[in-house]
Amino acid sequence: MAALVNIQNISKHFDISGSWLERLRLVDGKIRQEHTVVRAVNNVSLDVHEGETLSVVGESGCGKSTLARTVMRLYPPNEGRVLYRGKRIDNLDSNGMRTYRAKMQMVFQDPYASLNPRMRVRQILQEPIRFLRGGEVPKGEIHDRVADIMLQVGVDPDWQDRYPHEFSGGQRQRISIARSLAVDPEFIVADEPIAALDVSIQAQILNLLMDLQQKRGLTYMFISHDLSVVKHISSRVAVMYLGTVCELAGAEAVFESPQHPYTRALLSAIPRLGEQGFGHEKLKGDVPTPIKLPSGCVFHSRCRHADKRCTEQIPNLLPAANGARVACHAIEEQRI
Amino acid sequence: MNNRDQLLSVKDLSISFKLRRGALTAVNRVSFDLAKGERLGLVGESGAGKSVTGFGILNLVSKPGRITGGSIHFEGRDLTRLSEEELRRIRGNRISMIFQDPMMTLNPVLTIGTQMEETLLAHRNISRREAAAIALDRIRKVAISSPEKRLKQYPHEFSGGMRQRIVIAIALLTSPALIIADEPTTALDVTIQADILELLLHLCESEQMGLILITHDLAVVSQVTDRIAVMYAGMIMETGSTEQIITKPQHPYTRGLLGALPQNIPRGGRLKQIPGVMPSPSSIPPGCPFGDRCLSCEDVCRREVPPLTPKEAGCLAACHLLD
Repeated sequence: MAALVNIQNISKHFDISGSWLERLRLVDGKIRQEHTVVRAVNNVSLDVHEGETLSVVGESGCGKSTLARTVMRLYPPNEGRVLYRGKRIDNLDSNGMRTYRAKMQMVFQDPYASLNPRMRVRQILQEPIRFLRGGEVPKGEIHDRVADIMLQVGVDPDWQDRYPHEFSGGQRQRISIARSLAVDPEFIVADEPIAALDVSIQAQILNLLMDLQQKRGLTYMFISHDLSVVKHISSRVAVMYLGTVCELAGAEAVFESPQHPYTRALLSAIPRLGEQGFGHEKLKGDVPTPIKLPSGCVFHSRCRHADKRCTEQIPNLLPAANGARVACHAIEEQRI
Repeated sequence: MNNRDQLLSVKDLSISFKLRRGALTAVNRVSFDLAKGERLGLVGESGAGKSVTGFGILNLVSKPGRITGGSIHFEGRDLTRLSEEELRRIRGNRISMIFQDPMMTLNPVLTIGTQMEETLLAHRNISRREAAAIALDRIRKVAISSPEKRLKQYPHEFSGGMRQRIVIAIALLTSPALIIADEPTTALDVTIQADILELLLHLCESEQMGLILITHDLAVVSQVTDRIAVMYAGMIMETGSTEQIITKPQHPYTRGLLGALPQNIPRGGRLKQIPGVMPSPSSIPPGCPFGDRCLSCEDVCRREVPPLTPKEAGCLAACHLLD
């Protein structure tokens, strides 16, 4: 399978130092300037294969949303490159990106924040077509396209003159999905698309996403913290912790035989339906902050198997059992 | 089941909100019992009325909401008939509540120690020193390391999971008979959630406290509770043992909820979705509130509200078709 999207050594940092005055600190009797940087994503490399669903999972603060937005060029990366069908897109200006914007679309988590409240649904859905595919789609056809896309996502086209606030959360998410489909994309990044919805609505939206993928041959990058959903729809899974990918494997391999100590702890913590009591692997300590990243392996302070090398050297993603790739010295050394 | 054997006995509780356009019923004749030390999960999707029920037990529903019917028997008294003064002696004392956002409980400008002592001094006639000793004991019970140092710190110096542990410690201060926890771990990461739930379970067992766990997460509830009550549009649809509800659900809504969970379907398969959306309190149809979305809906379902009655499988369910 060819790679549709190549993510190469991407790092993304946010400087939250504030203004000049806010950066001043009194240290040892001297006034110093201090920079506070949130290292959200560090040296991440991933390929997304055409037609697959690659899920990126991790807990809050792991950098998965930042990674998604960097891939979509909503943030420029600090380091690294993003390639789409072999061509670099991370260094393009907005004009250069325009052709790609029709091919790469994003669906966001909050159905109440991602639709312009002052635009009717009709306008929300026409806008991307006009802007991105205006040359290809004749004006007369745009109206039909909008009606058609609304039908495909299960929203009555008769309601296209309504405003977002007149719809429920689940319907708004359908509209967001419709908006991303309106331009006939190949690649969709979905950032926690169902987290804000009730369980029975989640099922509806997930089924919709799976149906659309089949019908249109879409490639998904699915960001989520909900592991049972991820298990259900993914082909491959990347597990992130504090800005790094610690394990990358086929979905079945990750869930049947997780290897990285963090993946194992994460999976053991998922509440299991019908299982009384708890047997989850406990992690020592608290989640460190992405402002002061631990040295070496970002997970070492919470890992039972950490040794001296783990505190000094960042592990690379290396091939391990079951076709998985794992970033862990202890696994490389076959200590676990 | 005799009222007097139960720690808590809620009968036909109704809570309405009086708005200009009319009265909206958020909780409609809800009934359930809780034995001493028993753990009950109150499960439902958003808008089902479960949080309002939880608040209603302590008469904490703010205006324009109010209890419009039913009774809540706790330790020999009907809470709906008590004065505000009498209720204040029960809240935070005999019945404690834990919320989703720890900052609803924690005062950001006071140290943890001060807040805990304050709570104790409000309910017990003891000295400050005695209160400090009890606070230290409770902080230890929730597995917070360096407790003496931590008591002198402020809420912002703790992570989300730690704050929730502190909230649990505060809830334990007066050794209450019942804890009502409203989505206590929804805002927490999965690994922290597992730790907090295990802590709550362990404490309820060791301190012999009753627990009402309000949540939308069936998996969480199945790990922690003895019994489950499923709510929909203000009504209880089914009540039974956790095992029975999870493995042999009777009510069409419960079955729909479980069928919608990815864990119950083979990988890649279509999830069983329930068509439509839960009605809001202002648009509940006549008869069974689930009627519009129920695949087995019959004429009687559209005419009469089904009562919550015992069914063959050993549970209580509100469904005409199960008789």
